[in-house]
Amino acid sequence: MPVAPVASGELTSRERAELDRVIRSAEQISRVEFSVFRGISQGDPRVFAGSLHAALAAPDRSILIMVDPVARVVEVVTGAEVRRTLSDRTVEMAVLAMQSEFAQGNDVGGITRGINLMAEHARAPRTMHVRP
Amino acid sequence: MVGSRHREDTLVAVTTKTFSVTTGPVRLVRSSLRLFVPLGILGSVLLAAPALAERPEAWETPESVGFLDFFLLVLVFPLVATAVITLLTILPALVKGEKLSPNAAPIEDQWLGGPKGGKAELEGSDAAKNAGGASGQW
Repeated sequence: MPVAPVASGELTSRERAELDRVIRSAEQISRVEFSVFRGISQGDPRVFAGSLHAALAAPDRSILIMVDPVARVVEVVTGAEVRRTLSDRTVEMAVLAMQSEFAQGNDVGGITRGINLMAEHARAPRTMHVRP
Repeated sequence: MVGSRHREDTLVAVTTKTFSVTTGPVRLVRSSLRLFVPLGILGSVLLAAPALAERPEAWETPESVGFLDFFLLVLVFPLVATAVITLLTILPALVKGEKLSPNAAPIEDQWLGGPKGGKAELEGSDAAKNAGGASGQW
């Protein structure tokens, strides 16, 4: 019987630095704010993730990723402005990609993959119009 | 009638004699064995002298062990060995940043790109309007 990998404690400073770099890069690509919460969710994970998202500086322009390695839950909350370019269906696909990495015990890899996927899709479409 | 009574008397006497011959000595031997065998074993154990042998002359006389050497050997070395083994066991977990205390929270909350106040700023913050997203479990 295969044993599921166990959450490996806190992120190391090196992993945090790597995620910071990924977030900065994603924000430059998409012009959307990213925030990652990794910890123990309190109460209903969706509601908790919603309150985390609401506490951000600009919730409408932000994407919050909440990962609870103990409850094995991942929640992504997108703001109203973000949803114009990033559909919930695309977010679901990103969550699926993250889940597969988390299941292998690769938390940083999963978060990185999810951020990159959502940043790519959240990017506003390029317009071909040339301003006079 | 007299003849038959005589035969009965003779028969009874023979029967009694036969019974006493077959059971008497055997019972005596068994009783003796039950008594003497445990006594013999117990006596041999109690009276046995420890085996002694002279130390060969070619052997050197061992030096007496001082208190410090004895203390090091019996107490300090085992404690140091225990500490080293414990350290080697928990070192990988410490490097990974895992909690070792059973009462500690499994992981510390980490919020990248969150507000400066962290979770303290969650007080009274309702979910943003028209928020979307997705959920998952693994």
